[in-house]
Formats: sequence, structure tokens, C-alpha cells
Amino acid sequence: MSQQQTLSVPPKAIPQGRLGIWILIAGELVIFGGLIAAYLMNRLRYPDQWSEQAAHTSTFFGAFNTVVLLFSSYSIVRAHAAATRAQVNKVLVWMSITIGCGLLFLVNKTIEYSGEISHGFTMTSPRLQEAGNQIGSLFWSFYYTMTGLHGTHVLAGMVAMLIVMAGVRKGKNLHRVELVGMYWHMVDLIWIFLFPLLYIAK
Amino acid sequence: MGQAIHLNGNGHHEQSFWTKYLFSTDHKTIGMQYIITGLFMAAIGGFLAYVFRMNLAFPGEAIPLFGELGPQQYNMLVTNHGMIMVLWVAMPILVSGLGNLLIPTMIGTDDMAFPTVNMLSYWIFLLSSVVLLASFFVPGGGFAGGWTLYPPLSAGAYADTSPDFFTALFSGTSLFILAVALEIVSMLMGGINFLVTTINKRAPGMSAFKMPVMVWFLCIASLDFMFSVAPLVAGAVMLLFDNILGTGFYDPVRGGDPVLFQHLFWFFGHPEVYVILLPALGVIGEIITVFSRKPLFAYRTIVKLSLIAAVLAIVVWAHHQFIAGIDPRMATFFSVGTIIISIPFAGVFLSYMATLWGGSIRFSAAMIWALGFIGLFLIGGLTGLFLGSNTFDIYAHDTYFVVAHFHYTLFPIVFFAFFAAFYYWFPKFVGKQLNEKLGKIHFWLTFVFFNGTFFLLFFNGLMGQHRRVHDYSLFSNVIQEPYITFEKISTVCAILLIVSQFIFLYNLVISLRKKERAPSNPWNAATLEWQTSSPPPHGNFPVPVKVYHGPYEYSNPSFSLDYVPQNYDERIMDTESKQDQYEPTADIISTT
Amino acid sequence: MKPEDDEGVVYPDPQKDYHGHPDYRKTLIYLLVLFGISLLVGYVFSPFIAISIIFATAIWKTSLVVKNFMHLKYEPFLIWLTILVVLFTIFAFFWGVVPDITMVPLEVVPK
Repeated sequence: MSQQQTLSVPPKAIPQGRLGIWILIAGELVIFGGLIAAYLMNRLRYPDQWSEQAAHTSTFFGAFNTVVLLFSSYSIVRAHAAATRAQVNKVLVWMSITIGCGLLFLVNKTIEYSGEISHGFTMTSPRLQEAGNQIGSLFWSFYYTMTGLHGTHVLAGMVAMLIVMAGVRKGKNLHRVELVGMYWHMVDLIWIFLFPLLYIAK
Repeated sequence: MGQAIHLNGNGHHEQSFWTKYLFSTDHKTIGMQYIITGLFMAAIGGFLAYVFRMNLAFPGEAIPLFGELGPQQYNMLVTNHGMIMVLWVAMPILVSGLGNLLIPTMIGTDDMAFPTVNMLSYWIFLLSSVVLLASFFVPGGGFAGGWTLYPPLSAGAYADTSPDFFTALFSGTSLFILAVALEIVSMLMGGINFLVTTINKRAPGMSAFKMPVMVWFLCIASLDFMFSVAPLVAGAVMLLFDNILGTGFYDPVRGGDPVLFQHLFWFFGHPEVYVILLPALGVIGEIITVFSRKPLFAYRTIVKLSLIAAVLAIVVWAHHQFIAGIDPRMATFFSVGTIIISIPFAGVFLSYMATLWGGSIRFSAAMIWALGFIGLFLIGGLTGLFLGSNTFDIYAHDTYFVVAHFHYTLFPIVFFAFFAAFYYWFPKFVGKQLNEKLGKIHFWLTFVFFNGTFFLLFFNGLMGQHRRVHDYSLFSNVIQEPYITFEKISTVCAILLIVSQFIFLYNLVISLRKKERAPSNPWNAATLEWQTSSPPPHGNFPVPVKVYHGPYEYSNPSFSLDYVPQNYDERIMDTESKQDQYEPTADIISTT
Repeated sequence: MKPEDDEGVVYPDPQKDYHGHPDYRKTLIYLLVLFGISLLVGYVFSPFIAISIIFATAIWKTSLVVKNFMHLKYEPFLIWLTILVVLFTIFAFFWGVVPDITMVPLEVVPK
């Protein structure tokens, strides 16, 4: 059996969960990459019409949400660091902070959306279309699709975190904190790109 | 033996019928579920093909078993035939089905890395099949805009007639897009599982170049699928929004561009061909080495060539769009890339030929299916070379030449390679031997009628018959005599092709009713899956295996047997314990 | 591999831990500083330079998150290769499609 041990575990095998999450992240990044590439092509095609529309997005909310997500990335990595030392209470505190950040992000997003919708910028923007600005309405379709898809990922990450927390409370499956954390970092870094693309570059 | 029983029982409790056959997390059960579902969908796809082929040969007449067929219904049948055969037959059977059955057994482990994700993946796949079949029966009928889903036919084409959200959501088009998206999600989950399993769960001693070439090809295929399909996921979301919310991503009137969707689709659609080709080549590689009793020629080169092909596959997609108005400079680039990508596959084929050269070939049923694959796929691949050149493609695009080329590549990949795999691995995973003679009859009938169905269509295409016209009697000035007869011959052969599959079903039934069990290694193969009982127990290997040999060590003169099992350890085994190791069939199973 | 994290707690057995823990607090401050730069450059430079700097900081931030928070720096070559394949795929798609979307002027006809 000792020979079995020496043969079976290579010195630097990637833990199974980490490897799976890396591959999942790779796939997710290409999904967003395709969407961002499609956005960028249209953005470069209609530079003036789209920057006119992008001026209507709220840089304040976008910037605030970026800070929230950067901080939540920090808090989940602290939860992971606590999990490697099996400090269950600390893990729960840091994870709750992260979920709170996610909630704050979504609340901000809702306020921001409602402001934009009240100005007539919706998924199809009928007011822009009636004014003959079809190209401008396409910007808002992209805006809602990209931020909406990202928001869905935030929500999914929060649900996953709640499930992981239920296990952590019983002291089980502490390694999952790291995995859900890696997913959360991916959500964060997609936002790092969405923010300049949609909000700053005007 | 006592130790073996203990290990086998370790952690595997008694299972009820539901957990054993339906909600199973065992990779073998899931693999068979995929294959059974895939064959069921193949029957539906085959029936659709029968209906529209009848319409093409005898336009305007009522079709037996179906009735009258109008142009809209004809389009619906063609569309769904295409998508079912690619996404609901080829993918589940070749990638998910064979991958699930073979990866853990070939690399010598007990199960997939994430068994629950694996089960979930199958159930999402089943849901997607149900959604697809449901889309036939919604008001307005199923989606009829061609299997490539091009807008505007797929995006908001019904916007004027169904303005409200739920009508749009439950239209045939939206359900079709949803089904495709679910199917993709399911296959992505399967792909993650395959990659993690192969990277992390190999048996001790199973280094990368001791893996059978099938495992390599399945992993490369999963990787290619994952990266190529992801932009289409985003594209499908945009298409769905165009349909149900009325956005204009692909609507030129609103600043969008339908060519964007064509790019998103073919960025997936072209690598998809290689995604299903690679497992098929893996099957052929396994079978021809066993039945010619020779090591696979240039094993490492084959793996490297397929890696090169996988990278090239991602950058040649736009050769499907030469007449879509793409940039002519890019068309040249894609044309050259398409012709270059034939080089790695030609290398793989030559290696297979060299493997056959001088071998002691046994023409078993599995072997002749494999040889049939090589011959037919060669025709498909060579006609692909002409189509890859954009000067010829502009002439032949959307004619029956393309249809014939496509079926000469995909039919051997999906059916010849699958049946080869089926006749080869059936004794392993079901535990009964199939009837060889019926298998050979099945092969010859399929081979003859397949060629009868599609070979003449090359000529119809070259004379200019367009593939999307449902009734050519309306254009009698375009298509004339020999070609109308060719259509009729093709239809008759297609019906006979479908009918000859009943031999396979008959063979399956009588083999399942047989009493005697298959031996654990009926073909004297060296790879790991044959070194356990037939079928493998839950957990696959009663004794954890260690790997000492490559997968294709046949006819090695320094051994008494003509094959060296991968887990054969010459240092510690005498003849008696060897017997224990390699024939652990009946007694272990009966005691657990 | 650093045997301790930013609170100075020594790991019980660094051999057992799969990866080290870089200084997370420093990384966060670094990220926030870069973020501040990306907000402010718009007021200082001309738009073209500003946008170049903004995207450079975005890439820099991403690499910080991936390397430190996701611990890519401790991963073997295989994972780096996966990330490279992701970038390759996105770039291949972008450059293959750009001539057909961006470089095509489109006359928009109002309904």
C-alpha cells in the first residue's frame, strides 16, 4: 500500500474543487468575453452615438459599486484565509460581510436602473426609437444585457455563499469557502471591465 | 480475495431501483442514459428525415405515417432534423455517453470527479430534449428558420403577430433557443467533469502518454467545446431577448447586425464538427489497434496533431459565411485556414493506415464498422477541401453538394463510429456478447444504403439544386431528368437505411435476452477497462489498479500473451495471481 | 511560500496548505489606488490617453485580483495555460469579426 501512496499523489496536484472552478471560470470568462467583444465592436462602429448615450449612465453609482465589489473580494478572501485555519466564527463573519456587499451592490443597481428607466432608457428605449435614434437604443439593450447578466451572477454567487455558510455553521466543507470565493472574484473582475466600458469611457 | 470484497463494499451501500437506474450518480449508468436518450432522439430525427425525403421525391403527395406536408412544415422538419442530429444525438452519444462510460474506466478510477454534477448534467440534458420536443406542439408550430438559427428568421420574426411577452416566450422559436441553451449548459457541466477527472483522478502510474488516445481526444474535444460554445451562450441570450423583449441586437433597422449572430453561431458551429470528430477518431484508434494486434502508429504525434487541430479549429469558422457578405480579406484567411486544418487530420488518418499495415487483422463487426468510417469519412473530408476554398464555395453554397458533403462527414462520425464503439464495448458495459454475424449484416446494409442516399446528391448539388426548396416540381426548368430520378433513388435508399437499423434493434434484443455472460476481456485488449469484470462493478475496480504499461502493447515478443495489460506487473505476479487479477468476474460480484 | 498571513498568524503546517497567502490588505489598498487613478485621469488628460490609462489600470487590477485573491501565482503552468487559452479565444473571436461589424458603415433606415 505504501507504493500506492507514493505513486498516486503527484507532489503538486491541484485540488479537485479548485481545478473544477478554474475550468468553470475559464468558460464563464469566454461567455462574458463574447458579449464584451460584441459590445466593443458596436461601440467602435458607432463612436459618437454611443458615447452620447453612455453620458446618461451614472458614474457615481458605477464607481460606488466598484468599491463595494473590490471590498467584497477582500472580505471573501479573508473568509478563505480564516477557513484554512478552521476559525468557523471568523469565516461566518467575513462571509456575511461579503453577502452584505453583494446585497448593497444589487440595491445600488436597482436604484440606478429605476433612475434610468424613469428617464426612458429601457431595454428597447421606445422614446429613443420614436425620436429616430435607433442606434442609441441599441446601446441600452447592450447595457441592460451586460449588467443584467452580471447581476445574475452576483445573485447566484450570493445563493451559493448561503449554501456554503449552512455547511460551515456545522463545521463541514470548509474548503468550499475558497471555491465560492474564486467564483466571486471572477464576478468582481468582470465588473472591473464592465465599469470602464459602460460608465467611464464616454 | 477477501480484501477485494471489502474494498468493493467500502462506501457503496445498497441501492433502490430509483437511485440505481434513474437518479444514479454512477458514471456507467449516466453514460447509458445519455446513449439511450440519444438513440431515442436519433429515431425522431430519422423519422423527420424520412418525411421530408419523401416530400422531395414525391412532392405534393400524402406521406405514409405523416400525411400532407406544407412548405412551413417542411422547413420545420429540416430545421429540427439538423439540430436534433447534431446537438441531441451526436453530442450525447459520442461525447457525453462514451466519455462517461470510458474516461473513468480507461484511466482506472472509480467514478467521475463530480458525480452529482454529472447526474445534474444528464437531467438538464433530458429537460432540454423535452423542451425541444414540446416546441413542436405549441401554437404556430416548431421553429422553421433553418438549424443555423439565423436572424431575422429566428429573431422577432413573429413580433408583429405576438406582441405580448408570454406568447413570445412560448413560441416555437423561443423554446428552440431555450432548448439549445439548456443542452449547451448540460454539455459544459459534462466537459468540466471530463477534464477534472482526467487531470486529477488517473490511476497511479497512468502518465499522460499512457492514457488511451480516446481519453486524450475526449478531453481535447471537451476543451474545444467549452471555449467555442461560450460566445454562443451570450449570443443565444441576445437572440432570446430579440425574440421576447423586442430588442434589436441582430436587427439592421435598429443598428444591430445579423452577421454578428452568424459569427457567434459558427464560432461554435465549426469547432463542434471537431468536437464530435475527435471522440469518433478515438474510437477508431482503439478498435484498429486491438483488431490488427499492433501498437498505435505514432501515438505521440497523433496527440500533438490533434492539439494543433484543436487550436486551428477555433480560427477557421467563417468559411461557412463566404456568401454572407463577410470581408473578402478575412475570407481568404479563413479559406487558407480551412485547407491547413486538413493536414493534422490527414496525419491522424495516415497513422491509422500505418497501424493497419502488416497487422494481423481480424474482421470482427466492430472492426468493419471502423474501416467503414475511415473510407466514408475520407470522401467527406476530401469534398470539404473543395468547399473550404471560397471560389468553389460561392458556387456550391446551399446546394445539395454541401448537404452530401456534410452527411459524408457527420454520418460516419455519428453512426459508423458509434456502432463501432457499440459492437466493441457492449460486452464490457452490458455484460452480454452481441451477435457478430448480425452486426456485419447491419454494417453492409447501412454502408450500401448510406452511399445510395447521399452519393448521388453530390451530382444534384453540382447541377445547382438548392437545398432549401421544398418542392422542385415548381422549378422544372431548373432541375431535369436524371436528377429527379436521383432524388427518388436517394429517398428509397434513405428509407431502406432507416429500415436496416431494425437489424440492430433485433440484435440488441436477442443479445440482452441471452443467458451467458460475456467474458471480461473478449477481444484481448490491453487498456484498463478490459481488466475488470463485465460489466464493471460499482466503483469499477475491485482492487485499485496501478499502471505499468502503455495502452497499445500488442504482439510484444518478450511476453507469452500477444497483449500486455496496462496493469500487468511482471515483478510481483506469478501465473496464479495473474489469474485472480484478470478474471475477477463472477465470484466477486456474486458475493457483494 | 510565506508561512504567515497579514495578521502574523503562523500556519500550523505550511506543507499541508496548497498555496500561500499574500498580503490581502495591501492588495486591496493597491486596487483602490488604481481605481482612484482610473476615475481621476479623465479630468487630467485628453480622452484618448485617459482611456488608454483606464484600460491599462483595469488590466492591472484584474491581474492583481487573479494573482493574489485567486492565488494564480501559486498555481502550476496548466492553469496559466487555461487562462491564456481564454484570452486567445476572445481575441480570435474579436479580430475575426471586427472587419464585418465595425468596419462596415450602415445606413439606418427609420421605420
